[in-house]
Amino acid sequence: MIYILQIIILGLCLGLVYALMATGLTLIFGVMRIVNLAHPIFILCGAYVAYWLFVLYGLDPILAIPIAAIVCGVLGAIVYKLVFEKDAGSQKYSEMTVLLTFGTAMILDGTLSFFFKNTQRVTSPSYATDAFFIGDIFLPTAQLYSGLVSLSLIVALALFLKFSTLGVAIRATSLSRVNAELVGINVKFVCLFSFILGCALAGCAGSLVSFVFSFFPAKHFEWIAVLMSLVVLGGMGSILGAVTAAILLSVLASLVGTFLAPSWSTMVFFLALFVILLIRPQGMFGKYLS
Amino acid sequence: MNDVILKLNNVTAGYQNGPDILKSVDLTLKKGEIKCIIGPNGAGKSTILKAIAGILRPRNGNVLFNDRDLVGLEAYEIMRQGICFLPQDRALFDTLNVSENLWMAGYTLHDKKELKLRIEEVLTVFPILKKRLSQYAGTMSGGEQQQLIFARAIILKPQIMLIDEPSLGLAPSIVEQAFKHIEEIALTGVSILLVEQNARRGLSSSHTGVVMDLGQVVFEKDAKEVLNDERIQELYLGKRKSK
Ligand SMILES: Nc1ncnc2c1ncn2[C@@H]1O[C@H](COP(=O)(O)OP(=O)(O)O)[C@@H](O)[C@H]1O
Ligand SMILES: [Mg+2]
Repeated sequence: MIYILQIIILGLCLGLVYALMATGLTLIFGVMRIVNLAHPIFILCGAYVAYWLFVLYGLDPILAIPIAAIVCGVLGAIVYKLVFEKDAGSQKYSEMTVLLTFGTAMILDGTLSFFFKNTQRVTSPSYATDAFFIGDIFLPTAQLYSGLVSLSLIVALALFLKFSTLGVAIRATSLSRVNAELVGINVKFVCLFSFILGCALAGCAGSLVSFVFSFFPAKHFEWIAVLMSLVVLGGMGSILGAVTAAILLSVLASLVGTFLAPSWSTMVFFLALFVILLIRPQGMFGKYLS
Repeated sequence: MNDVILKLNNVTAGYQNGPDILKSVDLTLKKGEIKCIIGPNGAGKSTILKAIAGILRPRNGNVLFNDRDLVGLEAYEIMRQGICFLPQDRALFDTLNVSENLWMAGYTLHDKKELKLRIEEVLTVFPILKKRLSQYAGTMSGGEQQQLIFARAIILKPQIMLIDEPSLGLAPSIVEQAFKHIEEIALTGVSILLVEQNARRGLSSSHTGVVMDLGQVVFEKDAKEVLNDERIQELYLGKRKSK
């Protein structure tokens, strides 16, 4: 029993990290209908920032979060201005962005590979190998910290979207660009801001990921598949949906990984995606595809 | 009531690469005036409102608001000048609650204390909304949504309101209520340009009537004269059966 509880808690912690990885992706889709296949590359960039800050200056990856967020935010602003702003809101924009973001992902992937080669890396702060014991439950510190930090960031994002004027304006814009303009919202600015926010969130997730998973430039292919399954399952554009999907599937994956075989755990995400597309293509909380 | 606040000169407009829908339209609106545009389906009535509001950029001509040309401004900039557009499809944020809808209506107001006061103020005008503050706008009845639309519109104290088909899809009693609001708003000095499918109803609340057809203004007269004009009755108002 305790064993199962422990697996669930571990799955929960990882699920929160996945949730943070997915929030930026679903936010950007919700507001701009950009299917950002380059999102995991931004996560990787955040991971490399945290990794090098730790290796070169000994900075704790959790403390590196603001720096990774800023670096990814700036990168996001540049990419958005160069690639996405011109045609925002036009017909077939979503379809178009699939190709544009894939191209962006390839360019950034190439750049990262050029600088960092295909070496597997992982940031190893002192707590990377520690563990807590609560009764008989064994909790690796790194997982616990990353889960808690993810949770705080997600809660902060939710509060921002719920209670700040700009946050509500972001939600309003995601409901209708035209209606948002009609109440005087500068939609172009809101879109730019949301894109930057989404990329900054990727950067935050990257810092945490850097000490939870080992990573290398091509890792983003694996992540995009998992993240897309979360975003689709949650209902494209729904942050609550993506977070719920991340937690559910991650817990399920760690149970499957333990009781069937570790190699089966990733299958959970794709199987869930497959099933949801068959029976409820708009996702758990979705409205856009219905 | 004699100062012109809005003046369209020679406005030509169309969608994307399509043909001109509006062909050299001239139109004026005075302070405190309610002007109703009538005409057959597809005449370009909604298109005029969109061209003024900046949803559609005119290809030619100018839209002078207090002698300042609005052509080329973004919709949100035009809105910030004091022109509020209430489109046909309501334009509420369905899955934001009433309170958030009102909050967004005052998005451009930087003094948030002032915004709070104004929200209080409109809630005394529309007391039903007060009980619905945390309800999603999209789940309210047609009449309540209509009230929310007017509440949103007056928060910023606009100088002009452009209203497209206020009666569409509403029960008759609620249509009456909507026109009562429109008349009251105009009495506070707001100029209103109205498009109404139910031409009789629209004209009877208006000062002036404009008949449009095929993207052009056919003529413009006192609302009463338009209502009583036999030729217009035949063409556009659906003549009452002669006994
Ligand atoms: N979004 C649009 N794209 C292309 N054509 C449009 C669009 N909206 C309206 N039109 C065309 O413009 C003409 C005038 O439409 P509209 O102004 O809506 O007429 P109405 O007088 O009924 O309000 C119609 O022929 C319509 O087909
Ligand atoms: Mg119309």
